[in-house]
Amino acid sequence: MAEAVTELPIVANARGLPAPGGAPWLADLRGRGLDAFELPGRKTEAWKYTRIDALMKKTAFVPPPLIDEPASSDIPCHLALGAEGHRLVLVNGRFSPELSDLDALPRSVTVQSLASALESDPQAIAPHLGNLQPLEGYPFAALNTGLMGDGLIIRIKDGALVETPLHVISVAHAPGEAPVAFHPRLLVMVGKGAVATLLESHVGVDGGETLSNGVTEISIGADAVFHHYKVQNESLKATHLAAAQVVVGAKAVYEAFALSFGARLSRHDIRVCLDGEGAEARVNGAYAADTGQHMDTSSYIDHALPHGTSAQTYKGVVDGSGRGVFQGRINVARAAQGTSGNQLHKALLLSNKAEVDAKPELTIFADDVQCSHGATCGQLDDDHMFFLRARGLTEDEARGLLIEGFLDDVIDLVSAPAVQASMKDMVHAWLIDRSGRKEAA
Amino acid sequence: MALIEIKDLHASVDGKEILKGVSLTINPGEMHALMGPNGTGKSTLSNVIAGRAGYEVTSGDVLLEGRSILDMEPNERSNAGVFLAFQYPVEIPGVATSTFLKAAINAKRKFAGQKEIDAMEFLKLVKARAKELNVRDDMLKRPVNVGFSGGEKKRAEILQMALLEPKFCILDETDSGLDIDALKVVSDGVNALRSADRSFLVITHYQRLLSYIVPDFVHVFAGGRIVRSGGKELAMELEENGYAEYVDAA
Repeated sequence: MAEAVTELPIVANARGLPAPGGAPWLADLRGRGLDAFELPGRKTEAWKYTRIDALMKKTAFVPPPLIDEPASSDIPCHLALGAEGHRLVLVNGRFSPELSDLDALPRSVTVQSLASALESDPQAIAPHLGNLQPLEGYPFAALNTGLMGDGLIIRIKDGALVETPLHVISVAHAPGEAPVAFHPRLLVMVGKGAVATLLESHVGVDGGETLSNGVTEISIGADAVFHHYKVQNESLKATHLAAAQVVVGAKAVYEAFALSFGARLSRHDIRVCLDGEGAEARVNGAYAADTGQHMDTSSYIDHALPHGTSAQTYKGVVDGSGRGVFQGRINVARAAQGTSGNQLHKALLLSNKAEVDAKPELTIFADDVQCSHGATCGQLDDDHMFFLRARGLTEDEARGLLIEGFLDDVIDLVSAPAVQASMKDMVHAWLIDRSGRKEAA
Repeated sequence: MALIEIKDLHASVDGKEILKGVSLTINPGEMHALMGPNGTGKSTLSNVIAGRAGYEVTSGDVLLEGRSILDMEPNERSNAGVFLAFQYPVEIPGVATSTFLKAAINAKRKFAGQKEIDAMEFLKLVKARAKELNVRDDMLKRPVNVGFSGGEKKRAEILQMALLEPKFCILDETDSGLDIDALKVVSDGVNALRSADRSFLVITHYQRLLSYIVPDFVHVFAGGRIVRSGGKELAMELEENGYAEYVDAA
């Protein structure tokens, strides 16, 4: 097995590159990452609905070339979240100080690129990097660990009230013939009692095939409130793999929303551990997949300690021969008495060829818990359609309004008004594109 | 010319005949009430006129200003001036009432070859009409009918009617689920919309609505057709004697 993995182009082509920072712990961490990487295949339960092995075997992904960065004007900002934020730009996983906007950062926030931290003071991040992300069971996070070189380290001080969100814009860009793979790493440490918001926009510049394989590790101190909103709007030649590991402290709140429109294949893995009494997680999302797209959301909420609350609502619209996957696991440890954990996935299928697979999974070891899960999959409601058409809307207009409403309904769970509005604009833009595609077809 | 002519209309659902020869002529400006026991096809008639799928018209015709509407799509009928106020208005999560109203107004404008309504004009128009119907601003921001009380839902229907300015309005059991206060507000809204060229067909089981919306003609509907017609005094008679004789006869 190990030989086969090292022969994969994505691994073989990355070997022999000078690794930034030669600290032994880092070499050890990378080595363990590569050792743990195993290409998921037919028999890998966690990836049974999302087959990626053929793509990985046949595509000769190379590390991103050291090219001139795209100009600021070439970055498709209209694909990124429109809300105000401190811009932190990664191009193919490399931090770009020129495209970023670090000047206005408040003193309570420090942002450093991973590459510079590994060069200047690797010991300072040794206890944090890879601390939350397990290697077993997360093959691509393991690969990221083996091949990571850059990304961002964000520290938010205890008690900080950070009003303007931090906005990571990750640009995927393959200017040449060769398919490009990169492995960005985000490390976010939110201090006790802090209040902050992180936005992530993943966009693509037109060009060749890309593979973004990111890992985000977030630790949230007690009593903090951290909002984390992500939009994945990469090109249809992109593969987007992302794993987020979040640990929420006592009485802290983590609110996340992931919205996906882009990439031909995407997998959004999110694991949240409620690791303090009374911790709360609201983990929601929406996706819209059309022909040629496969979108996978796999969540794992781990209630480790008492009186934790988790609520998850996901909605997906699948059109053409698109495919959606939702795997939602809730684990309630023996110690986690007084847990409330709820999960709902609703899919709207717009064509006979569209497909959705949903797999909820509850494992409960405590006895005083209130848990629920639900999954529905259906088509547009005839009564809704008739009501709108009886008010003068054409069939297409009525469908468009109902699809938009289906997604807007879950976007209403985003508690930041500017982000909510921007996400709704994106849904609207997706629908306009969709009707354009239908007319062209 | 008659505004609406229903000519010997027969319609079936799943092969079972529900409408068995309905004939009714409504002239501009008239208010007609269609009364009758439950389960006799009153709602089927309104659905067939509005164009809901699942009903098969086996014979007869429905003319709007002399032109058959039976081959038209539901939105074409709406844009031509037919409005159905629903007995059970649907709740649509995620679609803000104001977004929906704007889409409906623009659909009609597009049909009439006019340009879309601008945001300011829309807001002014909707707020003015909403105020007349006691529809609060926050209802306009909420998703269509979601969390509305029975009375709020019916007021929202009348608001849509006021904004779309149809020629022919069908009120399908609009009084169901309304208390007296809500009934008054809804009736006032309907009465305010009465005009010399707009006509109404009010479908109801009870006479009480007709104390507020006074009809020019009352028709008794039983067994899939109109079995008796008269003036407003017929409603009083039905209130006293019930529908038993018509049910038995049908």
